[in-house]
Amino acid sequence: MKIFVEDLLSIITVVPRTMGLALLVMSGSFLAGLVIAAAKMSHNKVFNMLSRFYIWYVRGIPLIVHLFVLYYLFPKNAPVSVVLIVTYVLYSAPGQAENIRTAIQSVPKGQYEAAYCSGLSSFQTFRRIIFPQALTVLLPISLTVYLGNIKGISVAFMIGVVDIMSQAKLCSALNFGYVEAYLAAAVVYWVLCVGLTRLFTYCEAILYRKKGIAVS
Amino acid sequence: MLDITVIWKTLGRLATRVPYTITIAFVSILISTALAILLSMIKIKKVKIASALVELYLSFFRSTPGLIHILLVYYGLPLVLKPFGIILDASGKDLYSIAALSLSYAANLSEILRPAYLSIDKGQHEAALCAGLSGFQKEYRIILPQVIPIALPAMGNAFIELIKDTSILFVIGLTDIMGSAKNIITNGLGINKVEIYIAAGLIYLVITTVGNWGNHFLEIKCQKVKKHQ
Repeated sequence: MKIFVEDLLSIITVVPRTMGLALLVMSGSFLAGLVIAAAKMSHNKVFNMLSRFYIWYVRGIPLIVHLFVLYYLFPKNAPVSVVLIVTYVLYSAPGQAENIRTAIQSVPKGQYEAAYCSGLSSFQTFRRIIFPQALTVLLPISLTVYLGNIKGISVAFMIGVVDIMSQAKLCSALNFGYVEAYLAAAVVYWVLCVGLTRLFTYCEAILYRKKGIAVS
Repeated sequence: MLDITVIWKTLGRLATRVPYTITIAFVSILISTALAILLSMIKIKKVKIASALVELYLSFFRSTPGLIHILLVYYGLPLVLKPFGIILDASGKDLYSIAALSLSYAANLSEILRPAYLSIDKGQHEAALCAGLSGFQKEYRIILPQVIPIALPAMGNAFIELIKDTSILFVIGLTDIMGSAKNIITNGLGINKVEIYIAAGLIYLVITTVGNWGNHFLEIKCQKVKKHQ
């Protein structure tokens, strides 16, 4: 029990770091996802094929293999967290692209037509009409993605990135309490996920009450 | 530069571990499906205390990473089973792997099976009961044939994901595709790491591509069955 508490306290110190890493990964994969979604939805055959090839390649191979390959291909003095972020962004971009596509396609066609009829340019239409509506679909999905990233980063201890998992590994190596350390890590992950989900639901309720935005 | 001959040679060596990997994935998906059916049933029927426990189980396994499950099972299961007189040693790594994957995927699969079951129209249940079928007959003859085509494509996807997830089992020393890639690297004193990992990646790519074709075929079949109904 004493070991468990010690491990728990030591693991909690790396929670902000893990959350930050996951946030970086999510923003990166959102941008990469935008590019892939655009390529997928474009009528250009070359872009279409490239995006399909990319998705086939990236989704067909487990994250760990990508991680190791990139780790050894990167220059020796590159920081490991950069390797992790790049790998994870490239790995999760297709999923994000799919989410973005679903969100954009969930906006009814009449919205585009109405916007064009009111004299908005296509960029204005996207920026002022489509994007805000797509966001209400994208926001709840993003939470799932973020939680997935926090969990997904756990494989990074294999290349030496500090996060919840690697901290647990370190603790277990220091005091030989393997079960205690991993149990502590599991509790931290659990509390983090449940807590963030609760927080999100709470914010959603406020958003709905104040602005009348229904996040589906 | 990459050494193509090394990749080629490693491909041959790693390919021999494919049946083993697929077997572990297959046994895991069978067990986890059985578990998932149990979990979903408890949750759907709202069994009093059990459904709260199921809720806890789902919440735990869905919010912790697979690595944690594997390591917890590997280090924790022997401790849990000790009071019951079952002594496990560290040699049966495939058993630990299957146990961890099954527990972990049962939570995922029940999130596929439960919505599939609930998507069946209420009228089907009522009509079956009115026609004089018993509860079991109703599930077996009326509901299940409708649930399967809805759930099967998603289950296929989960199976492919599971095969990909077997790649982290090397942390407990399982010699599946990734594990034997690691072994080859260790035996070769760490040279040609990139080539060996690329070979492992290619093997996974072949497996998942074939799996996706199979799943696509399954999806078309299921669509046909659904139309037929």
